[in-house]
Amino acid sequence: MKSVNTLTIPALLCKVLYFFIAAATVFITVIFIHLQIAPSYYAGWNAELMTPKSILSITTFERWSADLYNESTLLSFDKIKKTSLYFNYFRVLAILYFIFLTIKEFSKIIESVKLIETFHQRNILSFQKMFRYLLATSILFGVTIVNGQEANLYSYSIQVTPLILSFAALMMAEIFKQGNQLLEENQLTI
Amino acid sequence: MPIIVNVDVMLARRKMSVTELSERIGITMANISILKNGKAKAIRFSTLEAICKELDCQPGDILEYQP
Repeated sequence: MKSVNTLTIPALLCKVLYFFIAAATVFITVIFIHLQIAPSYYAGWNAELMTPKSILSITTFERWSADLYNESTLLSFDKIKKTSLYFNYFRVLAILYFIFLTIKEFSKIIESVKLIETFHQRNILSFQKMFRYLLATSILFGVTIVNGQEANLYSYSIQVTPLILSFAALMMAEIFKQGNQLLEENQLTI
Repeated sequence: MPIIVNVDVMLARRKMSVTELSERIGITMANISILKNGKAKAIRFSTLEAICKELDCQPGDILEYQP
């Protein structure tokens, strides 16, 4: 009974995150459409925004193709090529979708723990799926390809947070696999 | 697994049905089936004791080691 109460908080958090993902999807789509209708509005928005800058990221590769000193001003949102814009839009959507799938799998695990079916086979599969989704998120998050009319930006950074989370999920899958074996053994003890 | 459970042999010798045994020792038919089919991973001393008591036999009559 106590564990059920404890699990209410992460279950609630999952629902809040669903809302944030939906809100982010709508926000990005609105910007994507508005950027094509009124590109001049985004003149001050630098494309470097697309390069994730956090403490837990390691930039392994970054290349600007413009030779000018103040090259960053050449790559404002309004100057991004259509193909690049579409690529980045779908990249962000894919990231949000993978995060959504990760949270969905996590919610499934929480629900099964509530039903005291913790070491069920489907939880192992859920953790393995979470590993794949988080790994994909980490890869997609790190890639930045922005082609502008006067400059290009290519960068790749390793996103440590989703990478750590993905391997944590893989480790949990292994732990749950052992738990499942013990459960099976217990069930087959007459 | 090289351990063979001979519950069905003992049941035949005692002319007792599986249902009767399950009722007498208080374990489910599903568990008796697991035991009979050799799918059981372990057997509790209490279960073994109950089976031996009802079938009037020794644990060695029920369990057999075949390398």
